[in-house]
Amino acid sequence: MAANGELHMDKVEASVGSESVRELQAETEIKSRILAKIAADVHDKAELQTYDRGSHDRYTKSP
Amino acid sequence: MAVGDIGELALRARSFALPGAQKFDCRLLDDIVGSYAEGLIAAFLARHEQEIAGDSAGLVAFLQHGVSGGAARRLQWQIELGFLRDSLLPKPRYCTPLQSAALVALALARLGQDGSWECCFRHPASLRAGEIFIPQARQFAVHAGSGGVQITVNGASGDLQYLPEWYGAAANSLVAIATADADDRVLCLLSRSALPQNVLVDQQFVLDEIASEHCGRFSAAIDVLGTHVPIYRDWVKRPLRDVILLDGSDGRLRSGSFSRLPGTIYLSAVDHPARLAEMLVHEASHQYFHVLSLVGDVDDGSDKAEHFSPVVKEGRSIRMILFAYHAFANVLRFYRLYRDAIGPTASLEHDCAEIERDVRELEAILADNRSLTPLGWSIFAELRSALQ
Repeated sequence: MAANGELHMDKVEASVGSESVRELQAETEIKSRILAKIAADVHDKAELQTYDRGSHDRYTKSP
Repeated sequence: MAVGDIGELALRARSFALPGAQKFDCRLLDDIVGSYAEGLIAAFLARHEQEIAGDSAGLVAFLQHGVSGGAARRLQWQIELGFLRDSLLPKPRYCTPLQSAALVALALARLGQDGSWECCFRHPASLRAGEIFIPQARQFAVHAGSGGVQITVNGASGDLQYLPEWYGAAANSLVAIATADADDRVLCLLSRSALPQNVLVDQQFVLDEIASEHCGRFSAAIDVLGTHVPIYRDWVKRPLRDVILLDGSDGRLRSGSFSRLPGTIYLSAVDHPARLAEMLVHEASHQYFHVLSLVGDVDDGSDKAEHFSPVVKEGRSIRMILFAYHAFANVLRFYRLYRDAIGPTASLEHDCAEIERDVRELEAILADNRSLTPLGWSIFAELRSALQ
């Protein structure tokens, strides 16, 4: 794993807390993030242009 | 630490990166989609309540009850959520707020929410409830109760479940949506006549009608997944609802998805089950990426550079490099597993080599990039590990 990868995953592992706390807070946290995303997206015209289509176009004929 | 914390989310998101390595986190998917549905309905009503109330009776209350009564949390990753989101934009693209409201209310009614509502469109509008497509009309009334969903369209009444028979017999104008039964979930195959308006698809390629051969090809693709690469079957089907079929006779694989239209993809109806399956894997990957993007960023925005993407042959942001890597890495893994199952062929070897070349180029960009968040890195690392 690359050096920056180790750094990232260390952060991931260190941030995990107890199961009971996760259960209590998960729904609230998700809802909070999503409400912020919805509110921000109303004004984000660039996102519509840039990410509205994830296209995939591949020639299929094998040699 | 809550799932909203980026570290916990990064760990749980690993089953969204690819199937098999982790048990799929259904609860995370349900929580994200359910919260998204609730949030969208609330935001939609805050913006459009007066406008909706002016052209309807009971519809606003029905939607409000969808949130307070819990039915909205059971909405799936489906196109109706996209119509709500679209209605919040400065210039909605897909349909009017009243049509969005009616579509979501019909979806809630089909989930078992009781109540009655009616609406009157200023111009004829089409509605849809799952695989049932209702041709254009101005007046709709819905009663949902213990007897199911009763619907009245322009004065003609009946059970929604049997609407194709009575509506078609009365007016011969029902536009049926052909379906491919994928076990517990129904995937709707959309032709031009059922295409939501203003959806950005290369119009010249959209099939005018779905023939039985198209359904057969689609079912064969699902069979490829179920028979030879079973870890991908449910993972692929879970986030998909509607498939807009394009003509595939020119031999190209065209497929795409829409960040604001959940569960909706388009793809070429090629006569090759494995390649149809490839496109399903590719687009399902994008759906998972869009779901995760609702609750976390995959990069911190510090990398402003455009990186050359070998799959589109032009510059892309680091977010879109990961977006492409997520899809193509899954496609490569699918083909490797398929090859292991049926044995190597020249065609499969060619496909694997071609896709792996692109995947490794994308991987090199991501491996040295410090702008990835723990969420972005978690997706990348899970995929890279699976492809070693």
